[in-house]
Amino acid sequence: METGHWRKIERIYHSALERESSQRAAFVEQACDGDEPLQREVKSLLAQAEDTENFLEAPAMEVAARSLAAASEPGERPHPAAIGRYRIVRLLGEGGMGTVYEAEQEEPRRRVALKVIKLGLASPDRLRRFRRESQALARLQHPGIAQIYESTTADTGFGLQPYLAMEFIRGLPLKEYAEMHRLDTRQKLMLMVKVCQAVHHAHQRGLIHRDLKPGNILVDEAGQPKILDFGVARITEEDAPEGDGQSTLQTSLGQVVGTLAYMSPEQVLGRPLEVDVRSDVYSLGVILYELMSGRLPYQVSQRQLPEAVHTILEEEPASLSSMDRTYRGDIETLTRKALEKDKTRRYASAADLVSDIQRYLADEPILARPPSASYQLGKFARRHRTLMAGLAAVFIVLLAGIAVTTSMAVRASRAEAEARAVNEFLQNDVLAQAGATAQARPGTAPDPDLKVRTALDRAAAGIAQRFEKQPMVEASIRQTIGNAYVDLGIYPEAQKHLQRALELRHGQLAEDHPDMLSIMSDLAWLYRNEGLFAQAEPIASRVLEIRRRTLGKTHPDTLEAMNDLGLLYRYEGKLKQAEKLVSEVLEIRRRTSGEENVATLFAMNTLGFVYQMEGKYPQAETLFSKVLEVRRRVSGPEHPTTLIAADNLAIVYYREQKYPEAESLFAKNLEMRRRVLGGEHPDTLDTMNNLGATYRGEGKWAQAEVVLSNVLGAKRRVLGEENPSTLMSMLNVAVMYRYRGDYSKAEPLMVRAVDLQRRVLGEEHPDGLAGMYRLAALYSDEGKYTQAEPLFTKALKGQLRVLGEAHHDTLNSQAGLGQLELREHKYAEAESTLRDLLKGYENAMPDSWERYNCQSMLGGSLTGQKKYAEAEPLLLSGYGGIIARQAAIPLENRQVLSEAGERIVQLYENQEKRETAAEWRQKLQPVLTRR
Amino acid sequence: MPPPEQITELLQSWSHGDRAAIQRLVPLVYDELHRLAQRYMSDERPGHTLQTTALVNEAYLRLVDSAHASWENRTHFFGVCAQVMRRILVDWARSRQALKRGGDARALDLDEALAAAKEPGTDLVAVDDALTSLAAVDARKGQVVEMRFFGGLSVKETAEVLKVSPETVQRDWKLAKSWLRREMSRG
Repeated sequence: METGHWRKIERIYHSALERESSQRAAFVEQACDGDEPLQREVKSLLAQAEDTENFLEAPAMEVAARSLAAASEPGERPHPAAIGRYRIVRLLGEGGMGTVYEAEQEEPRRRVALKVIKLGLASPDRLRRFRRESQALARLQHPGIAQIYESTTADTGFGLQPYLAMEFIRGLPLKEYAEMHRLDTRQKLMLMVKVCQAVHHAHQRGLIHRDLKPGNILVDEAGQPKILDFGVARITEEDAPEGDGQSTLQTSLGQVVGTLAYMSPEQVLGRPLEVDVRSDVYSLGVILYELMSGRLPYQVSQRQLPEAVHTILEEEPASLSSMDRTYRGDIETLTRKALEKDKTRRYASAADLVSDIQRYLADEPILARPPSASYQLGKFARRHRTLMAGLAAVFIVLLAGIAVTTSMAVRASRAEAEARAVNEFLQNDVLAQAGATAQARPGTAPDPDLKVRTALDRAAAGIAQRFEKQPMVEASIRQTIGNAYVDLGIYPEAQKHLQRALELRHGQLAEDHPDMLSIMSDLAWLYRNEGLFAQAEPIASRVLEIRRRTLGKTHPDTLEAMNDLGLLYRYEGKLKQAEKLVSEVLEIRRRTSGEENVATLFAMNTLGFVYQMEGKYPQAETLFSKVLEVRRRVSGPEHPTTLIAADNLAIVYYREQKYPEAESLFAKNLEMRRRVLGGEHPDTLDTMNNLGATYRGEGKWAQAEVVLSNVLGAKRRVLGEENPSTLMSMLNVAVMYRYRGDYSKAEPLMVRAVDLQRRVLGEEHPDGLAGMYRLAALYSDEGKYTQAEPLFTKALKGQLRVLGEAHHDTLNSQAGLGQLELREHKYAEAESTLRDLLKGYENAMPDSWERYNCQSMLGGSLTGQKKYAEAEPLLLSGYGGIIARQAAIPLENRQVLSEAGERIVQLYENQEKRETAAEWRQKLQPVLTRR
Repeated sequence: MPPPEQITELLQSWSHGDRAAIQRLVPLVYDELHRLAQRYMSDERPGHTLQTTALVNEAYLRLVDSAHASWENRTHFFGVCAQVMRRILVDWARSRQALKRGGDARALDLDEALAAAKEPGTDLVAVDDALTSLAAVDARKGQVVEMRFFGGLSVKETAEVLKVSPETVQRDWKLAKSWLRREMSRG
């Protein structure tokens, strides 16, 4: 149509619409002026105009989505006639990860189950991974595992669609089979054995199921159980270590809760690195329990999600023997062992479970032991530790690979309605959001929690309006969300929400209301995590004060608050106050609960750390020895808490420079940890690290290097390069090189570590500042003064602000700066730095070699300014003090002795007192040569 | 993933009148939107209101270098996305038609649950065909429909992109809808 014509149409159309409908026809006729086709055109358009109100108003996206939703009834949704070379017979079902069809294959002629997997958009990367994974699966050939025939992709017009063709199994699910055939105990156990053997087969080939449940196990006519979906849960997940995020899996809440009952604690906690074959063993335990008793060990289906998870983590299942006498003893014991929440206490493999079942069936004694008193104690310790951390438990629920943070902030003291509202919010807003927003972000740095953050951010955005009239509910929700942010390490957001929650409650609740105290504790915890100790302290103090007042001095909550505050003081370096407070806690605990009580031991431990930081090593040693002795006796030499206690004691030995004792204890610990936890477990690596540091302290460089490098390598592998623990390790290795004098190796490593620390921890974190200081010290040693000085200054500034002037680290940095200035011959600056420092030492650690070293350095700065009379007494008493304490000087700092001596000689030479100088040189001969 | 600076630059060129920039932008943006669209569309809970704008917003945040992103750029980005969205959704709609057993060109007749009026079902493929015809007659109206229907832009935003007044957009929209409806009911 030519433009002029169209314009005419347009003009008339619009003008006509401006008129009354009754007058339109006439107007059009007139305007068209006899042009028939034009008139027809305009009229036909106008005819539509009336009805276009809603036409195209909903955006195309919604239209498309709704069509998808409308077609979601399995019967209604059209299915393809064929996929690949498989002819579709009928729909078998819909799962969270895709659709399953029954299909027929031509060659060989057989029935297959075709699983069309929803993997979101098939990027070449995903397809490659899918192919790799399913090849691994296809290699699984076991009568107990549904065989995978083929995995490939089909072009459905909307991208490549991956699918699996697998063995089509006619049979009943496990539970139904057992019921239908009325299996007795022995038969049930034998069935389980077959299942476990199949699972073990896959484990040996490196595949973990992750989603074992009776629904996934079909038993065929021959009585052979077949496990479905092996490893499919893995194909459709993204690996958390790669941080790839999540595919577009959609799982309804109901489905998740259904699976939840079979999920191990570590799976439920959403820690992908901790999920291993033992997680499958746990699921097998649940299945076994269910088979035996007819019910699940944990009732989760009626519960709200956060509660359900809490149940799995904390509750004990009803004992099998209470349901059926015949289960008492071995069956109960071995089921319990499979269901252990602590995976180190579970059967280490499905094969071990099989062995015990077979032993039972053969009337032989099983290897599993019923829980002893020490075990019960251990469990209390675990639970208690959570309580003592003073946190509402924050945990992560795995929604088919989507991680969502839910908070268990709902305590008994909150009103029912409030509790319900919070739960509802969590489920509908946070979890639901997570379902819709979990998505990979190509090109951004891997961050497995990013999706959680998105969910939280979105949920957080609407809170103020949603709950305008319900401030208490809003406060609870904000507390929940705030804690979730804390857990994610997103502190600014956390602060926003927690502070607001505090404000909201402040208006309505008395200060001693449990909810006020709870939010205050949470805020204090946040500040502590951020390293803002100075801000955390007044809050923690207040909490303590209120608890003392309302609950009394000996109430557990009060003691917990005391402990919290004590820990805070410790971090701040206010050691005297920490000591006083924690001693009090300890004394009360000793009195009320006895020496062997776990809480008492914890207090002993904390106090031990305080003593250690104060340098009161003998007292620390006493306490740690006691703790170790009790734990050894009560929990056994291999119990994790015993190992921690042994490490703590060994560290004190190390600080006291009792290196042989330290070395032996660390070595023993290491061996046990290797055996119990494995070579790459973080705790094992910590012990290895400590052993390496001990070697370093003894000057056993070769051994130190081997051990510390191994630790670093392992941490890099397991935790990643940017993990704070790995960075610590990097620094340790670098420091070792430095003490060896191998600067060329030390420097790049240290620079990298400090750089990463800065990025990961921020500029105000004590560890980051300490790292800066160590790098500065290295530069100083290397003579790179221009690089050292700004770094010292920066570290010092930060430390003064964050830790205060009396903190050990701050003093160290100052000493480093003073020494640097001396080396640069900036005597006046050095004098001022060192005078300040000396005051600091006199306050904090008057009896230390560092103080006397400072004195000597100060003397040196005065010598440099020719203030000889002032310098002399300082140099002499400084030297004297160092000599008297030389046993306490660590190997790496040994040179302070000779340096102090040198300064004296220098003084006399400057004054031209040659004889005195020579005398001194004589005296110092042994010292000077012993470098 | 395309570098954000590249996209920003192209957006700027386009807003300064470089028509070729759009051609280069589209493939860059396509992947991202495709993925997002899939995610949105597989949210199978009926009655859940989706927002195209939210999706495009998200894409924008991710793709564009936020330091240099101005409001103007953002709107233009939305304009690009409208084109891309159209392509994505229509491709998808066509493929669904192909899948349906006994495939029929006009098979999918969908209800617009929200719009209570007795509208004929909105068949995306039909809209697309009709729209192509409309664009041949009047390019700007075609763009208006593309942006509003496929891109989910508001009248104001559309006006911004096309650099005309909102009233003009309204009028274009009205006439375009009439035209399309007529075209589609002729079938």
